[in-house]
Amino acid sequence: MNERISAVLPLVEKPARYIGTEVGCVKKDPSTVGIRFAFCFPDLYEIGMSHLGMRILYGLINSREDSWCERVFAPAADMEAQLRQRDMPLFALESGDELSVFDIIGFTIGYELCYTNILNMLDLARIPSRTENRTDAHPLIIGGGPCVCNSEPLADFFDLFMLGEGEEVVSELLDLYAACKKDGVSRKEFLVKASQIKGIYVPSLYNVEYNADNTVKSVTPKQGAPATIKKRVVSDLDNIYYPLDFVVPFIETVQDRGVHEIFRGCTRGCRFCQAGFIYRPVREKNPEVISSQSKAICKNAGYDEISLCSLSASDYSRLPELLDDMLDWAEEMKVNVALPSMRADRFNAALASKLNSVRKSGLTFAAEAGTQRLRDVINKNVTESDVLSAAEEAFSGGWNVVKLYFMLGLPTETDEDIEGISELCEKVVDLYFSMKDRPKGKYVKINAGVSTFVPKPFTPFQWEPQITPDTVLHRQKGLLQSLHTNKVSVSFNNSDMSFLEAVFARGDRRLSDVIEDAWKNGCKFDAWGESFDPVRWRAAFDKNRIDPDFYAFRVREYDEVFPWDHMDIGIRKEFLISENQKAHRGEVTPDCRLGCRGCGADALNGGHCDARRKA
Amino acid sequence: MQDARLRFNKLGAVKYISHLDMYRCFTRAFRRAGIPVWVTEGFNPRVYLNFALPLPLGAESVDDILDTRFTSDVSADDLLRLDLYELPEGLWISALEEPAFKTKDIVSAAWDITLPADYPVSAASERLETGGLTFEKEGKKGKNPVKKTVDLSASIYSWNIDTSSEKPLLSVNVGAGNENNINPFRLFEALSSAVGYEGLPVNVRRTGIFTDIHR
Repeated sequence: MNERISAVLPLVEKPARYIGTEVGCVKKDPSTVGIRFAFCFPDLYEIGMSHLGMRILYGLINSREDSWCERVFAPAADMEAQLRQRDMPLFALESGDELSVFDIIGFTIGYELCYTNILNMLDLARIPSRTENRTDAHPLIIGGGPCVCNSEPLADFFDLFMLGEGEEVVSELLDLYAACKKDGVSRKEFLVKASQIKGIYVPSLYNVEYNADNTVKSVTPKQGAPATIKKRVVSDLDNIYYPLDFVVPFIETVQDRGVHEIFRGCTRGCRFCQAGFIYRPVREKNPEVISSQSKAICKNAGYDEISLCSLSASDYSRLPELLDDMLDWAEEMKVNVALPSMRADRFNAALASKLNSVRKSGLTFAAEAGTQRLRDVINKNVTESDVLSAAEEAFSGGWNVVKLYFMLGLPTETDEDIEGISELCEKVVDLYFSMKDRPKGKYVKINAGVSTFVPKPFTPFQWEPQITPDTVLHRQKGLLQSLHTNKVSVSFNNSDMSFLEAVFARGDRRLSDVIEDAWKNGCKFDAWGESFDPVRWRAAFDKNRIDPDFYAFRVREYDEVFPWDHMDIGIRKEFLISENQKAHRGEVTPDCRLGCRGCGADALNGGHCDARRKA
Repeated sequence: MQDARLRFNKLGAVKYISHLDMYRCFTRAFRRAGIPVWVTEGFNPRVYLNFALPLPLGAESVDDILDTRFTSDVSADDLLRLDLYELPEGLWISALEEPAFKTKDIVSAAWDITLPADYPVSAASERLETGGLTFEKEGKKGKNPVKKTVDLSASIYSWNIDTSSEKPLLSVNVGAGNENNINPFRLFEALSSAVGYEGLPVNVRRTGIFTDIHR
């Protein structure tokens, strides 16, 4: 191992985060590959190692003979201090080589509060963070992941973004890169060519003009770049690359288990949920494929648990068949099959006890709002009786602790809706005590997790304001005051963080200076309660004379040009507007499986959507 | 049922993984290779795997001891093949044997401590010769933290400094086990502070575990 790195390891906590050497990590001879790719996850090793996107792209890129993909995570504070003190640049785990020798540095951008970590990692790598300050000698800086649906606040730092699913577009990008490298094409020319690949967004090829009121006037492409960037969608999930093995971490990471996606997209249409819209159209994998791949994953890594992930996983059209298939080999191999996101209206204790791993962590249901009126507004088609029967099933199945998720600050919310939250929780408690077959000798505990709603792009609520801090406090207080039992415990998330999230979710390019200044002020690991510092962020906004309230609290008109309008994720704006209007009328939109609503996402998949498939 | 004692080596970058990490490495590797390890019965079933003597994080080890139990016969070959693709680089099983002693009978361990090239070797030799090396150990008296001074001289059973290569090698045999367990890093610190050296050892490696005192 690199001597400089060895010298530092005895001085930091959890040195195993930085040694690489794990079973399954890929080591190649750098002289034999034409493209060195550094996959950067802008948070700690323990968090990033369970990231499915990293597993997929790591395997995919490494399966190419011309490329070598290595991993980089954000160093913890003590390691960062050592690196800076010793003038050591940030290095990749497999080779120990510094990031500046790589061809391409790719960041996965999963949430808004990681932006300062991205800048910090570039700084530690001694790479200028602004595209305009980089030369052809610097690595290409690219980004992917859900936040790319509005990457404008980061536009000044990245050479290009990949919108949508990465499996196919990353191969196309690497093919182009290899060809251009061979021909000695300049960075600028390469980027113009890359902009012609479907799904690739080169921000430097777009001019943004603003109106006097700071809303966006226009986004104009130049040099032949496309007017809109079309999201990439993988049509055939059964035959696309899926990683059957991955690096097995030494230290304990979050969600350290096998993961399998069973389908992409969602048919529920909950109006607050960005993921449910941006991953459309629905594409399901075949049960045989899921089962055989899952078996291989567990066998290869020695996992004792496999998690079937998807949005609303219990909506998978062939679930009973899939579970029967899997439990066949899973029982023999002593592997637990976990189905984490089960909707209240689909919960079945018999099902859950088959998947006995759920017993370990308890059950969580998302009720989201306290009254049926508000649940209809947000299109969360879950009724009070759904929640109560799910709870009843849970209690008779032996669970005595249930977690319920709620949000506050949803559009049209009133104090009555907040009282509705405590009423619903209390009804669940009362239900418990009324049941003769409840778990003996155990008390019931309802944990209500209440977070502040953040309006997101590409949802029907992208025109809505977030609630102000005063209202947040008022509603939180109201909730606590309306609770009359100690069997319900309420926890709130950090609403300062939610505010910042709201600013960046619907932010524009003018925020890049703010992010840079916040980082200079010392902001990083903003998603972590212990490091998040709203005072330093406020200073960064003030210095740049930008009012963050403009992004979070403003009501938008339907004809406003959004900073992300040049991203095309398939869903038609008219559809979102009509959903917004229905929300304000308190009207629901049923599940897509009961009849297509014409959202438009299927246009990016040749008109196909598995939601139309009959179960 | 086969009670088995495995000898293993832990060298290179893997010296930075903890016992819990190693437990996970081995159990996964056994699982992956289909080695039939016994799982404890009870509410929290876990694979039965016990390390005979704690190894501080950052120390290498050769010929270390790990006790386990197999539910059907496992050959040495099956285990030696594990390192080919199941265990991380630097961690491998070197032998399978029948337990010849109980772990509670361990009283000493041998360590090789590679010193930096600029270490004051003659001063160190003198100090080791005269004895009287101590270090502070943090403990608790009830709820109050107390500092205990540990006298090392009684626990250093033998020592030697080999200066034939660029980096001197300090080999020691010290107390180990349930009583009188000496941490080699603390030993190095005590020696360094006695000779006025600031810095870390280049490497620390345990080379043997014994049930008697080797002088």
